[in-house]
Amino acid sequence: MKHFLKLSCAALTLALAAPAFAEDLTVYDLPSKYMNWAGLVEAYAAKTGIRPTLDLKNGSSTALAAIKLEAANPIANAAFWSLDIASEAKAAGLLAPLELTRFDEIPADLKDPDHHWWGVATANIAIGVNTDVLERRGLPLPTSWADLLDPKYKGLACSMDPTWSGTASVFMYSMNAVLGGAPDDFTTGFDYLKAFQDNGHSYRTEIVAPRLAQGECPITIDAEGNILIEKANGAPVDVVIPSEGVAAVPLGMGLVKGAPEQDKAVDFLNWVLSDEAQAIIAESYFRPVIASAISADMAAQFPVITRQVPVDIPHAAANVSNLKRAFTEAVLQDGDVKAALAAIGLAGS
Amino acid sequence: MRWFILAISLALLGILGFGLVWPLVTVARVSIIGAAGEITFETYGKVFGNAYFMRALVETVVFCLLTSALASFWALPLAWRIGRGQTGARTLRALSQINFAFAGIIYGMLMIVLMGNAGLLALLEAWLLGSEATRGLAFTAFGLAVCYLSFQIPRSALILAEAVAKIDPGLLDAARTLGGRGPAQAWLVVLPLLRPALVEATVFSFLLAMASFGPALLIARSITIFPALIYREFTGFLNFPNAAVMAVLMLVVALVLSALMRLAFGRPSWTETA
Repeated sequence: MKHFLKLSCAALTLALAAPAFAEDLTVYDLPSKYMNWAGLVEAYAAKTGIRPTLDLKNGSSTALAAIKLEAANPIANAAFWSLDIASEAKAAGLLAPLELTRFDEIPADLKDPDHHWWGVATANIAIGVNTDVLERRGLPLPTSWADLLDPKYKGLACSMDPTWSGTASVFMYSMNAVLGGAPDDFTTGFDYLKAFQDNGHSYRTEIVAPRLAQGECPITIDAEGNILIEKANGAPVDVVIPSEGVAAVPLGMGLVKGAPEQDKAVDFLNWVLSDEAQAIIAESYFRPVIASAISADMAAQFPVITRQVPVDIPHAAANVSNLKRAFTEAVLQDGDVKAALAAIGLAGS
Repeated sequence: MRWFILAISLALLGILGFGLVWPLVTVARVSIIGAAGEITFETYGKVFGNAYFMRALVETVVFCLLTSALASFWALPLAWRIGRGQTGARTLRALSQINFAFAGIIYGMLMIVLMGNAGLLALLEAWLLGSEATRGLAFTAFGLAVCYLSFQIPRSALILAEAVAKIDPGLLDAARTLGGRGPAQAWLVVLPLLRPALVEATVFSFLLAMASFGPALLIARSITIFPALIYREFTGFLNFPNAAVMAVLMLVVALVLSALMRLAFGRPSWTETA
């Protein structure tokens, strides 16, 4: 019996100590296909023997919730997430400033002047189409956001639910500006979001890129990179850049305050902005923030954008949570758009 | 050996403490702590005053009660075959146990693959009839019910099979001697004997359904499933107090309803008639 206990103790000690030998670096992240996160992790592990974690949180909001709960005793060193959530994290006092070597090369609208968060890549939110399914149904490809409200496309489109996905919450926020709404009046954008649902389309609590490839969702609203990667894998899908214009999801990183392995984390965060890492990101059709890092050939693979609508990240961060509440009320519960927006002071004057 | 038992018991106590009691205490604590760290029942007021939350809770309870009761009755033939050891009993038991290995989210995915917009059923219908009536069936209340029943029926069957196996064959023989056969025997003898087990199976599958949120997250459209709302409060809005109050509320409602079901229907009927 004594031997059994001794052996058990030894086994337990080994099991607990094992992760320490593997040299992991805990980073809360988005799904591993976003921004080629899996590719970045592989390349960094091969280069340094340090392996940032994969598929730990699968979402910006879940990462923020975890970091908030762990604030007294942080587990994550850094986060890879949507920048509006990063800005919320800064406001909640959860991030530490960091002097990055290439900070000055990041476009001004994609970084916090106080160095708490910064962009790493962007992806335009566009329309994904399954060309096989649309052809079988005898439908032309949609060319604009307005087209999706046409009854001939009834029930064919899926977006992710903005209360669940960071990409979708940027879509919810930016549609207003894309369609010409004012920053203090989101009626234009929300009328669209509601009309989208009224045309039988759905807001889903799952990643829609694979559904586009399967034909379950013949039309999707998604980050262009997520659609192009399915296309590169042979699925009958393509990206449509809507004529009204597009806004981009700003993806980036931040250093967690009180990070348990700060030095290791800082090295990794700097590396993600290196030419090497930025080119790995571009391979997955996400647009690197340091444009000079990729070749002209690589740059040519991205869809041409005619009207890029900027996202005001601090404004988004300050309002997205309230807008999600209004979205739940006006769209998911089929309530009144004006009333829901008036309740959060975003129905104009 | 005594030390071993003591060690195991302590470990079990530790697991229960950290895995059950501590999270419960934390949830209860978060539900009554205000923004300034004071003790307040303000969040309870807010949640109770929110018509959307309350409607969702009622819809969820009704939906779970209906599907679990239906599942228990539907599971009877299956439970009979397994419990009496009839042909195929072992295969059926194994098949019923398979779903223990599946997370709820897998059931949601399965429903989309089978009954979604481009699901097997819709493709079959389009191919045979050229119509689209079953397209997206997974996202209707019917689809949600099929999904819940698909994990409730096998689990109810396993609980009922235990009771079926324990039925005294003498009672069945006696019923037959007195002329009770087929439907009469089933209705007058077997069902009353199985009543406590039926209630137990229904309570179990009700609690299972109330706790399930994976399928709801993926396919619930027509009914707002409360646990999915808790999840949204937690990760979508980072409103921990709201989520905690809703969790406490759901726990209390689920436990009270299970106790009531046991109290109202759970006593063995032969003690009344004997």
